[in-house]
Amino acid sequence: MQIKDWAYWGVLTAVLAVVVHLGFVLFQPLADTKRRIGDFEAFGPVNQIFQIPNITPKSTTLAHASPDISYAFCRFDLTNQPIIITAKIPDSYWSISMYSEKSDNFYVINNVQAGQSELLLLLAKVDPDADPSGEILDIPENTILISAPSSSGLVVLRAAIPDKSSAEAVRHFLKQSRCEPV
Amino acid sequence: MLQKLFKFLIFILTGLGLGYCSAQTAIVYGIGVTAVQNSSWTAWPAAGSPTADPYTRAHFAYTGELPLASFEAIIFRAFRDQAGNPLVANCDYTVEGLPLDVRWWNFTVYSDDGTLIENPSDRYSFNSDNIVLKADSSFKVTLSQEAQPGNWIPTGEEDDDFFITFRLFGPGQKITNSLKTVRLPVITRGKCR
Repeated sequence: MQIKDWAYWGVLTAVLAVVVHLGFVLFQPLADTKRRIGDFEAFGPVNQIFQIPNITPKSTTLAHASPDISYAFCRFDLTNQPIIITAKIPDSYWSISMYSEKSDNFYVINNVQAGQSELLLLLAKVDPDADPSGEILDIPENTILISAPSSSGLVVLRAAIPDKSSAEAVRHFLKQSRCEPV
Repeated sequence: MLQKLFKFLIFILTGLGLGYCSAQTAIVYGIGVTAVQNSSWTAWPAAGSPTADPYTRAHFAYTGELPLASFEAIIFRAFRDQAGNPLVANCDYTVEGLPLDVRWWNFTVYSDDGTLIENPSDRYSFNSDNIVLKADSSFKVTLSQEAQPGNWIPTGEEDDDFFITFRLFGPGQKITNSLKTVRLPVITRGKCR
């Protein structure tokens, strides 16, 4: 009888542990993504590019960031209009990546794939119910069109800092990039 | 009555503790189904993907890092040396690696809370451009609290745990197709204080 009683509590404990485990794993991304977005909000409004200061032991934005990379970002909001991103591209490793509000990396292109020193990207939230005969945007011919899975998210630019002496030059490249409503 | 209350308390505390600790371990260090183990290193191949599993999502939410899709960059983390011992700041380590089929790589040491380890030399990392290579293009990094010749990264003045992140940008297909077997840097513990 005694053994049966402990077995009963043992099973209940295991079930509780599994529920807590799964709850923690599933809840963690929701809670931490909100916290992370809050960090970026502190820099300024949506649809503008901001540079993240050099990564040091005291850095708080972009946890686990690399001190060998210069970062810039643009929080996008496509509710009212698409945005256009103009990126200046250095010779060393560079990439522009886009994240949905669930932090999915839905688009990325690097400097070799870009194959040029400047890139134009149009980011829009495609509405499947939209009228196909609607407004046609006047955009340059070589613009890359990207469909976002959510109306808000993040664009992140990364540029390698090969050595400390080139850090300012790399930051200067990122500074020339633009993110603005069409 | 008291015995029932005692059992109930044990049930609650053990269940909460087991659930929390197992989730935390699986999220931070990765588990076999969702993370790839290669010697001391762990990678999360589904990182950044819309189809990423909940453990991969939880890992990157926990670290706060925005991962690139694995065809663009792969992040390996090491919390242990080759022998399976945790990386601790009061021991010296050598990290020896061979050339890799990637466009650019970066090797950074972090304290266990994910921040860079403060040090007067302002050294936290090496990358494939600024590391001093051997004649055969392999490399050796020394992690130590005391200054070392060559590629040295200080591990701070405390005796805390730390970890290494090895980011591979533009990995070749041979790497993305063989995350479990690709020859990653070997972390060997030296003397401890």
